[in-house]
Amino acid sequence: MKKTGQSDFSKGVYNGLPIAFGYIPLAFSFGTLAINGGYNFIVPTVMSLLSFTGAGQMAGIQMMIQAASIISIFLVNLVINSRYLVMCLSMNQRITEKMPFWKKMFIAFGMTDENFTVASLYVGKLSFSFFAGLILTSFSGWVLGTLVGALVIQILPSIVQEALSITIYAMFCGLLLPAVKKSGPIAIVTAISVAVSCLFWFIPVLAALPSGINIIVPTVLAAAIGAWLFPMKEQQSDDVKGENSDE
Amino acid sequence: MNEVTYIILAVAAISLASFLPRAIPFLLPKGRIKSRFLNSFLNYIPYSVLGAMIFPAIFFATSSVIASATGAVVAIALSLWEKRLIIVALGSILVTALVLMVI
Repeated sequence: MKKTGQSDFSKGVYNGLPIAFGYIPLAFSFGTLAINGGYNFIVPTVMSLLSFTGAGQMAGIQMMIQAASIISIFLVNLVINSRYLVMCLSMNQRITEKMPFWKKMFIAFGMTDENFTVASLYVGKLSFSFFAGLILTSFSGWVLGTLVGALVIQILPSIVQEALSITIYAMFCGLLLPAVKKSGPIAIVTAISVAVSCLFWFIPVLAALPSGINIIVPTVLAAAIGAWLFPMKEQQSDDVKGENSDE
Repeated sequence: MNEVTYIILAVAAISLASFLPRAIPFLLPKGRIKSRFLNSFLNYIPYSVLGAMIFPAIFFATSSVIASATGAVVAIALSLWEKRLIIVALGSILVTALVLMVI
């Protein structure tokens, strides 16, 4: 029993390594963003230890720099992370092994887009040992990348520092556009969201609203219109999820 | 509220908001969500939130709109070409830095 557990663990580590390397530039730019915003290296590193969510932490630190209210920071993060509801619902169905509460919560903590994708496509048994290897490996890349990014920023030339602020948007494009290319409904939902988001950016009255509303309103509006115009068929939901995977 | 309290509360809020959506599904009894509208809504959320977060903010990511826009075009092209995330990110950073240098 023990032996199988260990080999599941190393399979998890093996699958987690490319994810860990992929996280480093993103974690790096998250660390530098926090430093540029006036925080010391402890703040982004603790955030990475406690959250493990790229987009949410990026949006969070940006809102903290703008001194947004705690409640709006919380709500924006809930909206950004709502996609995990769907992923974890699906993952909960896939895990057959009986496990205690803390093990389930550990898997929940580590369920990022990339870990979810890799675990979903993994052909072997989804044991706790596998998840432990996968999550601990990718999490190390995330936390160490943040720490190094935060420590190294001061010695980087200012042009490189500034150019790194495009990283998060480029990664978002990499996640979004392949799905837009393949699905008409997703393209329309995205177009609606972008259009409403532009209104909130360029119309002075709307732009003056508390930070975060400019993300929540377009997101909920576009997804609701999409669900109303193009409701998905029963099986379709999982297929669409698989499309925006990186690995 | 002083600075340190604000930071602690904000970090706790971000941590809680990233953990709750992941933890709750694992606490539910196994079974599918019945509402077709809710299923579809949840499925479109990742794409609509990404759209709202990228545009138009990507054009104002750096101090130069021209540099940001060039970086954006590279990111969009590489994404549509379905390159790996790391390539999309590095390509976009490189071109943005080059344009910032020239301007």
